[in-house]
Amino acid sequence: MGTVLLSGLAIGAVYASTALVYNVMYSTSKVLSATTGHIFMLGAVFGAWFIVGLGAPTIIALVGAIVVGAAFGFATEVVAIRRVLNRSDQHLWLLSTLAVATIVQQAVGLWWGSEPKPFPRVLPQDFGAGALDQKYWLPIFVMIAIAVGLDLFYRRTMYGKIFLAMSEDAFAARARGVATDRVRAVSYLISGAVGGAAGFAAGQLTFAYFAVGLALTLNGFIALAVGGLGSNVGAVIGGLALGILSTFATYFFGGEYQQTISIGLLLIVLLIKPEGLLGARKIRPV
Amino acid sequence: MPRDDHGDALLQVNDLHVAYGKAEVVHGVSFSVRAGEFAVVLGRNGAGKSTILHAISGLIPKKQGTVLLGGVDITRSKPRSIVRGGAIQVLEGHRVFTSLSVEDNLLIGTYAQHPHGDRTKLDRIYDMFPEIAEKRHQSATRLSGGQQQILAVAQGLIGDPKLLILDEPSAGLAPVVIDRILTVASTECARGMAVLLVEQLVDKALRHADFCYVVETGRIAHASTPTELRNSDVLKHIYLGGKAAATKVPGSDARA
Amino acid sequence: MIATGRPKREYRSAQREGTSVNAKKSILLLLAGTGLIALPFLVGDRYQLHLATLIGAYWVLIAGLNLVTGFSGQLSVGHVGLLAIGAYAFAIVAGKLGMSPMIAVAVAGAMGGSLGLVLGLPALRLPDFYFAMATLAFGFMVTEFVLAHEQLTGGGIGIAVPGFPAPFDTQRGTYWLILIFAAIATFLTWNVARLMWGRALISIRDSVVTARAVGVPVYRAKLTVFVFSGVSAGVAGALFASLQSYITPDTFVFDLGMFFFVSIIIGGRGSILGPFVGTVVLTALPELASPLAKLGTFFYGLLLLAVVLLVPEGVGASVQKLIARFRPGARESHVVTPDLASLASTIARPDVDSRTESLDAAAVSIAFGGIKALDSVSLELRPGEIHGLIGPNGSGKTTLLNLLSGYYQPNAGSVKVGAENLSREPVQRRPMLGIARTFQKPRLLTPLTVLDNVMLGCWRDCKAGFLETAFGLPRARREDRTARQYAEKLVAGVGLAHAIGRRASLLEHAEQRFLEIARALAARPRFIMLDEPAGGLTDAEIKHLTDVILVLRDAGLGVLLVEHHTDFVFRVCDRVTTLDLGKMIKHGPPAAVQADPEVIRVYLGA
Repeated sequence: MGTVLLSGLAIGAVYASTALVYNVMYSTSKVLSATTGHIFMLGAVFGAWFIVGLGAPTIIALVGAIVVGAAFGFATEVVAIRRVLNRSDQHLWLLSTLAVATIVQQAVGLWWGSEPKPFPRVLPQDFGAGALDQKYWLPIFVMIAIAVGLDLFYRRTMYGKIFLAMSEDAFAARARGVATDRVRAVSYLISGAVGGAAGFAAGQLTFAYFAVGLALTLNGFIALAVGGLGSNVGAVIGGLALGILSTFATYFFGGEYQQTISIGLLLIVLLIKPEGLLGARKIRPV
Repeated sequence: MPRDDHGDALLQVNDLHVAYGKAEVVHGVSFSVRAGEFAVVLGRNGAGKSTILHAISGLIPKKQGTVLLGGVDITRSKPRSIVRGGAIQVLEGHRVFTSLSVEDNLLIGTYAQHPHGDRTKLDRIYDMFPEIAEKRHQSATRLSGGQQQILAVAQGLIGDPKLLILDEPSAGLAPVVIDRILTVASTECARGMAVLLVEQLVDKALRHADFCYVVETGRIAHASTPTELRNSDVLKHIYLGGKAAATKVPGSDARA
Repeated sequence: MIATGRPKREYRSAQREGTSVNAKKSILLLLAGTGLIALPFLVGDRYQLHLATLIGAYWVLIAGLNLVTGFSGQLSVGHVGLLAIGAYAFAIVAGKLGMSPMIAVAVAGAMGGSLGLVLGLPALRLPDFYFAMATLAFGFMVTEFVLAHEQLTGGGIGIAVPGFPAPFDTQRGTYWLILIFAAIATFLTWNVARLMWGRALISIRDSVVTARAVGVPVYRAKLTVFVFSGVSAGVAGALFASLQSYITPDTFVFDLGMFFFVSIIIGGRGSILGPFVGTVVLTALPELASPLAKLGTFFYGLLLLAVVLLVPEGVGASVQKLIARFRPGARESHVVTPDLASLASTIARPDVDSRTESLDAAAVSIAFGGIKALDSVSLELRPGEIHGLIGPNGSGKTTLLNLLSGYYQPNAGSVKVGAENLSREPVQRRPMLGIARTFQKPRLLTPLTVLDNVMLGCWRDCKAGFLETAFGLPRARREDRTARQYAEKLVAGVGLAHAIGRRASLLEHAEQRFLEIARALAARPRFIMLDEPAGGLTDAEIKHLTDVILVLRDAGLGVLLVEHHTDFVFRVCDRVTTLDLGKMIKHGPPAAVQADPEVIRVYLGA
């Protein structure tokens, strides 16, 4: 039972991390990128490849995963966001990020193979470690690090405050001399780096599997929507709640209805509070 | 005061045209602001005043025309370099960042010159505006509308601008607050900072002005000193209808 | 006509060539139809015939999805789930239960429609990304359900699917059966596309504000087409399953859903032919170029990205735009010159004398977040009067206008027409109550023609339901015809006859403003509210605008003119109301307001 709770927290931490990454990109671009979960997938797949395929030491592989994630994040901004934000059609970024997500998923599937491959141990540990298994604790630790890191970034650094300012009022930020295009590109780069690291940490839980991206994009989004778009605390709460709920449901009722239950949770929350638990209520736009 | 020697002009706008999509809203506006001068732009709503200001600061694209700041062509410049060049704009509607504290809002005002924020500039501003000094670590949401507008102006001043551009700072504010802001601007102006003020409140604006422009449907309809403007009936006709008896001004060169 | 992928023509020349154009189209249609029927004899290869049959089955789904995604702009990536439902329903009813395959198809369609309803009800209330994710989740949920009920569905192993009875049990027979369904799907969706419902759906996609302003019941319309697309997906699933003869959950993966989605986007939204060509191309291409076959979904993603970045309106629409740009006369500058006599006679209403009710805002107050935007403001808009509403920035003019339009409900006071209280009526009911408006920045459906845009305004008089329209029943066709005739007259009346067949995106600013007025008039309003109509107009154009407004007044309409251009307002209005900081400070004849010391103080300062 304790292991069930722990695995719920662990997978919840992965969802929470995904939601946090969504928030970072959303803050500067007001775009919910369909590529979010795929950043994590790249972290896991490339991490596994660096260690198993290239024989690299763990630290190098982690750095590699971060670099790959950052590059992908940056490429997403350049290709799918930058040119599209100026157009008046609001659907376009949804289509462009969906396209990039599909492209990267399929490309990885073609190169890496469509079967999930095991992710190697990051720290030396036996496989029978039970509740101390790193595959649970790594994602939890990384999620905490991300949440705390983002909080410090936003509250203590000038650049983080620039993010907040731009998130609130991009036009006023530009008037104050903020180079909003550059800041947005950096935010996507940071998202990619963070997602790559988190994907690496979660690899033992999710396996190195090309299809993980879509599942995380969806479940990370559910966590975000439950917790409230734009709120990092909400992202953590939403993610953990989702993880625990679906793991317990699997434990008691079998794993057959995981997705249904997740969506059910989302719908219930949205019915009660459409902006999510900690989301900001929007004023009617006319 | 003759307005024809451009050599002195800090800000020189020539034949500016701005369009929103297919609609041209500014049709060939030319004017200048001298160093240390308090210039006022009046005109009813929808005349294109804010559009002109946004275009000068590089916040919206220009269809045609040139803008020079201290002799440097900033027509194609990004907002960031224009701010660094010394032209700082305070947007309409007390647009401060409510997700940040008062002090952080001020530090963002120094961001263009100092990527980490320049704390040395804070003291001068706190001296100028004690009412926000006492709230320096509070979130900007806790300020009243008037205090937020003062914060917005302070946010502009902290950057040590050569030209401070104020877009309708009075909107929705109590007269006391408006006077405060205009007095501060006037004082700084006396110290050598140029001011470009767009206002709807004619009377208050004219009291501080060195030179006035009146904008009507995207064109400069009148340019003169405040006294001359008051003595004419241009304003009455611009705001309340009927064709003005005198003065259509083709550029900033001719006197009224 | 709404975009069909064929070159557009200026309307007048189309009228002259009228019969010959229709004749050409009929001949082409006949040829295409014959070709499709004869296809089994024309292709030598069993595999190619199978491919054509598959395209037909896909098209049944895509035609329905086209109305959802291409027309009403709801980006559903999970329709593959509805396909799966139809497939399994058919397999179970025709296979396990042994019932007649035709009944099984009907059950499949019904299941698709019901589950479309269950999914659509909550999902269609959500914003874009949320909706897409909800449909994505739906796809996964269907797979979960299938795997969880092994007894019924065969679980992961899959289930065998029976074929159709004679005469459809041969490969050719199956082809013809599916051809019939594909033809029905095309017929239904083509009717919807070309009649008033098509315009209404496009307005939901391109400008929801406009859709509501002309009276389109946005949520209901979205839900209706979504359920319809569920039925077509269910039927497609049945046909598809029978073609495959064995299905497993792996048949219905996200990739297939992407394929449907991408076919529509690359083909072009807002057209029937575009997505059809998209379907054919995307199905056939991997077969013709075998390297592409291996790349499969990767290729779809690449194609989607290319289209979104380079030709976002789809290949079909971009070709049209290009052709329109090279047409002679397309670039000519034309001063909008209203035909006032024609306009007057078009909008003349014999019943106007009996209407003496005003549109009355009585002591309305409204506050936003503690700030009082309007404080006990009263305004009476009488029929046959031009009433100006002026005031400096932040005076509450826009708030009052939005309140009268139905975007806000007053905290105190009421909005009435005669005895009828409108305070709680939503925006989309305004046209039915005889109130129309224009917007500060013209909101038009840019890919549609001037005529189509004005016809949209006639929605208020259209009673034909979705099914009536889909089957092309007489009432739907008649309403479309009536709308077209009325719209043509209005277009000529406001002076846009020279551009009647032109895409709205190619219009000059002044033309767009007059187009909005024509669209507002199409709803045959008693009261028309103009939001800064003079913005961006030259003096000559303002003169024309004045003439048009006077015609409206003389026809008995109550005209509310919200403006900054005080000169214009004082010249043209019968009465003027001035607001400042949410309060009404003066109302009366222009001369009185102009000379009022309080008004002068508000504008010029104490």
